[in-house]
Amino acid sequence: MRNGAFGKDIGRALYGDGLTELWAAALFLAMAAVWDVGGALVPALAVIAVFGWPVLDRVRRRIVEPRIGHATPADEEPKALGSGMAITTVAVIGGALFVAWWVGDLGLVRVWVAGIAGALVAAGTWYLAGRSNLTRHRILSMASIMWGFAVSVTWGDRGYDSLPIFFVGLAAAFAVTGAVALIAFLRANPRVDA
Amino acid sequence: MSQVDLDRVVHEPARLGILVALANVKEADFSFLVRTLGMTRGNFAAHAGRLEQEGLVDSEKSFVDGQPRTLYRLTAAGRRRLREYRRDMQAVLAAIPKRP
Repeated sequence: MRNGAFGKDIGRALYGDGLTELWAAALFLAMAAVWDVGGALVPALAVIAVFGWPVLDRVRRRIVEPRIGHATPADEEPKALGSGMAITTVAVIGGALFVAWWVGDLGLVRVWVAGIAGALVAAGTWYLAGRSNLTRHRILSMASIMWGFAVSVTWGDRGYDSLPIFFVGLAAAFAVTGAVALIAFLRANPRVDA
Repeated sequence: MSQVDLDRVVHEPARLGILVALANVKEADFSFLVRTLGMTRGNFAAHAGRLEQEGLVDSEKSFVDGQPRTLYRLTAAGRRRLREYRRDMQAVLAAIPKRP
């Protein structure tokens, strides 16, 4: 054990398998599909959101735990997490509305909706990076904000219909990152049957 | 100079490693801790046993998918002793000059 690297090692062990990114990719893809196809797919989104995590736990039990063992991350302070999420959401959306009002064109919010979504996803991923200590989570966070900006600049004239493009791109980035991390994890950690 | 007084149960490096690891998670099993701490299974079992005897850690044995699993958690006493150890150690560290 290296002194000082302790919390980092544990964070990496808990989130290093890439499954969290794969789950997020499925969620983003479902969000894009719901936006594009419409309400008929809302149940699919609900299923992924509600049952995705338990399914992920089962997958972890089968392929991750025989390799590195089992650990449950420390509990969050639900109050602190909830207020943090609320403050971030209000700050990002409120900031965007304020800027649009300042400029005198509330329609700007429609143009920049992907950029706003990118900032929110970036905040969530940055928070995850704080827990996991994984550089790839910080990169995904920065990529989210840049992709949101790029979608707004390129397809902003589509208004809210630019969101599916944003979510599909995001899903691709998370899926590729998760898959690469999972393959690297499986290679680095052969199965140990006790 | 007064003698440095540290909790010897906590101060031992292997046991301190186990306690710090458990302070960073809600619970962890034998394999996870052995692997993360880079300890041998026998060495880990001996030190975890001592921590259990002292009431700083508790363990729970179960079977998951037909495989035995021992889960470890820090007890309330373990958290308190680790906090006290941190405070004592900080006092010792503060007494060391920057260029001894």
